[in-house]
Amino acid sequence: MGAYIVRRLLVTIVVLLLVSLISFSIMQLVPGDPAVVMAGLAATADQIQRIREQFGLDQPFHVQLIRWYAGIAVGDMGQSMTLGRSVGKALAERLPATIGLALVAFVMTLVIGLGAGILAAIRQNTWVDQLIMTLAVIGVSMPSFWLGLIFIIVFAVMLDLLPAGGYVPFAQNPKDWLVSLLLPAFSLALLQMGLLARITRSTMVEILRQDFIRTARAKGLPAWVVICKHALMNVMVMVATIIGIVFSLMLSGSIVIETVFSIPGLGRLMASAILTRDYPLIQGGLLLTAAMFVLINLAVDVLYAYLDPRIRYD
Amino acid sequence: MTDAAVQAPALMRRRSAWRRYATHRLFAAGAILCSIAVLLAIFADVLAVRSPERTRISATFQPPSDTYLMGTDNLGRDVWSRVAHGSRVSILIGLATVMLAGIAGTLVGLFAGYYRRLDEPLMRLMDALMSFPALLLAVGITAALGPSATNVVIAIAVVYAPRTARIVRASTLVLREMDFVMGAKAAGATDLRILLRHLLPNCLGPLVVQLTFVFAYAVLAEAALSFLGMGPPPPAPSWGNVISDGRDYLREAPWICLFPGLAISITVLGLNLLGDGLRDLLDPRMKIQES
Amino acid sequence: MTTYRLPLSAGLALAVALTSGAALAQKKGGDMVTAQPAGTNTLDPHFTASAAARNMMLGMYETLMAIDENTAPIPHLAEKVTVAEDGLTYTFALRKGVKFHSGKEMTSADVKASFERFGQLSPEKTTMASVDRIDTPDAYTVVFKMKALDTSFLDRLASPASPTTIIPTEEASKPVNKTAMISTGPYQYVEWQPDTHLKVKRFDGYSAAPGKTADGLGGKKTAYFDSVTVRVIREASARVAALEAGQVHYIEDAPVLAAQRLAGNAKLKVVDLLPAMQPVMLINSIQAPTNNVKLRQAMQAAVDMKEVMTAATDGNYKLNHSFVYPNNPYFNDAGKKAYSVGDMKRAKQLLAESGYKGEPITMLTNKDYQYMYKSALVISEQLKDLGVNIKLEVLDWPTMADLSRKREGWNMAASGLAIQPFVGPYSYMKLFWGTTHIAFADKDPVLEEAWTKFNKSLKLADRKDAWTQIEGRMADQVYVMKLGDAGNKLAMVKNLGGFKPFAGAVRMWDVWFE
Repeated sequence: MGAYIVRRLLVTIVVLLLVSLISFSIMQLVPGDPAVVMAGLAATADQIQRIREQFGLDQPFHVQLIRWYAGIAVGDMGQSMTLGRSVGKALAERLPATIGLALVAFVMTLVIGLGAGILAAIRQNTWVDQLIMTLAVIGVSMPSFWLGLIFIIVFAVMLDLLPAGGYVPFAQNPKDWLVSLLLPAFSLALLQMGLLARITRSTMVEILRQDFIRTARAKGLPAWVVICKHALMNVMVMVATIIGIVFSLMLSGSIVIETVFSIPGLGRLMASAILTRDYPLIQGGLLLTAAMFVLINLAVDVLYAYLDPRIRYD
Repeated sequence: MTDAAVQAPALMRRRSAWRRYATHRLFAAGAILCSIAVLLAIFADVLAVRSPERTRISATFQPPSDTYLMGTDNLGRDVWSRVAHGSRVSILIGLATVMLAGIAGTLVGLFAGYYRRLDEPLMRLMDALMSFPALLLAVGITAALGPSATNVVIAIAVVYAPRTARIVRASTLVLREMDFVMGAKAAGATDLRILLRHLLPNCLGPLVVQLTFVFAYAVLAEAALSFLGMGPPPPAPSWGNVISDGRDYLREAPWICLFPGLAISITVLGLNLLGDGLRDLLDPRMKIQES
Repeated sequence: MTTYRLPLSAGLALAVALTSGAALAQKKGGDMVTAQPAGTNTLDPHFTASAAARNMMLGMYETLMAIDENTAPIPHLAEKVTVAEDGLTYTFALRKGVKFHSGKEMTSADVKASFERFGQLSPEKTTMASVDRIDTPDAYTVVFKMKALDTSFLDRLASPASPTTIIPTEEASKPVNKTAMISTGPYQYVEWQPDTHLKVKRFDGYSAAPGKTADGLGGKKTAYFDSVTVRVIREASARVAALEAGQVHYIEDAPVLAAQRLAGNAKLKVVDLLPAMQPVMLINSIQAPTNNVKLRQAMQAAVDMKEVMTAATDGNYKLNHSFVYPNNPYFNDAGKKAYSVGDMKRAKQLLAESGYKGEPITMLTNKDYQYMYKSALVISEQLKDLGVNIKLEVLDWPTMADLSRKREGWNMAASGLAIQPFVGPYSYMKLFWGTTHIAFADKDPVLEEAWTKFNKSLKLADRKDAWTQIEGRMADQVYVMKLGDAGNKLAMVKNLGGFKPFAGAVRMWDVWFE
């Protein structure tokens, strides 16, 4: 198992190196001069040149790349061009809102997605199953930002129940924090709910068909005991393996959802960084999110290997 | 055996296959919804006679009525015309993405699966690409290349090609060890021939299923990119653009956003159902895959 | 000899009476929060030109000259300025006892150092091009010796576009973005996060200019709030929501439909600022086919500005052909004949005369500024009706700004003048003459001659003549299409006392919570 973990670590390092290379190179293709953007409309040629030098944009590609890697090695992703502070600090400031959003959305996904999937599996081929599966496929078919807009019309404008946007930090008021995140989190979670419900159902159907469950049921154990004791454990293992993907989907969705609901998180930061051509910030944001995904998957795999020694290490 | 003798059972097989497809509920429902979107795209000019781009300041913010089926927007443009013509943009972008991601993903998948030496480097690169949140990477690429329909296609294809490659590779790995491939190799067939004649056709089932889903993701991704101002540039009325334009008037004129969103949802739902149906029909053992 | 002087003792008794009477309503205190659509990445007193930055810095930074309520220049940190008969010497007598936020008293050395820094860094450093040297005979006198006659010099010193901010000598030697945010304004710096907010607090050592009340950006300013926070909220709907939720007290650029709703809210009021800025359509007169003046005239004749402006501003506009506002002394009717004709017949005739054969005309616009996007959409539709082959390209603002600065690759570009129109004819600098001019035309002798005449004339009548000539020529040659004057809906809490809208700037002095 030790060998497996070492190998898994090596692969992770290779992937991380590739990830950082992709993050860096993507923005080298950008048309338009970021120095022009930063200097503003009325800037003169020498003002633009001064900014170009300040951020090393006048250096050749390989010099910029070496600086980039040298920086990452010491945890320095450079200075944001538009925010007047380091990329690391800017990302760190915005991370809590996104994590909060993802967390609330994740809880919703787990409770509703898992619940619906299990219910559908138990009531397999009944109208309950069909209804849930129909809702699930509709859920994965709607654009989340549009759904967010519809929710704003219904819950904020027509019913006046929830705020149309904005964000209250947890430290300021936990209750308002939760209220401000309900609509965006639900819009964000719907896709994952649908996916999870579908996967849970098929996993459960498979498990319920297996011999040990049948035996347990035949022994007269109540259905819920069987489900809780045996099936649920297997489902949880399945959830652990897709946690990285769910996380990645949420970060993906956060870029539009945070824009719709004006939440000062990572997604909105990235959306505005791209519009203002803030090279270092875009690079840092891509790197951070991809690295989180890689590391979460690594953690899940290692944990999995540790918990379930039967896994094949090849 | 004569030709006629071969043809008869083949025809029968084809007929029964058709029946099998037509009676599969998911597939049939998906096919119907997709047909609606495709027909809308083909006959947009006939179905919506008003220009989707013409502004009419005298007729702004008209709610849905007999005259304006889906109302008008802030510039007096007919929302129904924009939705109808928008289907062309969305469907063409979806088709182009499917082709690009399909070709690139298939090539990478075949090579990685067939040549052991290429497997590791290619798949690590695919892993790296898949580590980025999909939309974030697509937005990054579109921002880098500049917003245009072509660049949107490239961006979405880059995001979904690795996922396609993974599926093709998985099939290839299994097929590579099978007798008929070994036999062809022993008979002196070139690698290219083996890849194209023996491996590719046998990967088609899972590939077609995957590409149906890629189509669905492409329609959703195009909408999201347009919403963020990174999609095919206006005045081309892509569905995402129409929603994006109507967003400022959400409270006062919700119909501008409502209808294009419904169009997206119906199309993507159709594609998802079609994909589920195809999976059942082509490869019943396949489980629901991650996106 | 011309002397501009601050009103000193005249009417002092009346002023006292007025202040004591009004004191009942005005009270100190409260933390003001405003929201604006854009942030800034620099608060350097001499380096910026954006409206967003100006609004943030306005309470902290002050200048020798300021503009009054009608945008005419008045002395501010100077007590008076004397212009020699030949127009080649400007003598400023500084106000005594003016304190910087650091506690140091402002002297002539600080003024000289500030102007020298401005001359090196500012986007409008051309202002200093005609200055030969700056002398400081004593601590409270600054003398500008000019190389040549430059009649718009005082107007430019007063212009808030890229202000000639006075900062302490020791800060003036620092490079861009490295100065401490110290000046002499009624509010002083507390904290700044470029993408989220700027916070300032009342400067208790503030020495106000004499006078009754604030006047434009000068006069006797009084800071009533304990602190002012300017928040950056990009989305219009979010700004509106924040105001409705009581998180902010004042917002700019409320969408017209939302403003109607806000006006019905018992806790809020909406104030119209009209005009607030001028949308324009730039035409590249160097690049084919728009280098053809007949074609440009045909397009000008075809466009109906009523439609364009209605779409661009959701109806919050006034038609105006001139590049200055109607209340400006330089306002004239030279461009009126060619403006908003909407005469398709005449346009088609001009088009036929031009020999235009359907060559593509590239029109640039962007969605970051919605008025630019919408005006371009409508103009392109109108020009399509004329039979012109418009290729609309919607880029993002940075890319578009970059491209429209080049001589090639575009024919028309949607743009706007926000600050310049308030300083009258100086929008000409932005259009043709300044270092970052945005209009593209081959050297036009008529324009050049008129602009020289404008700058060398001491009499207002002569300068008006010259400016009228310039506007007439611009309209005739269609170098730039003036679209109209756009408004800005300002929404705020109802108990905000003393608020008067002022074009191009948000003033947080002489306003208070009732």
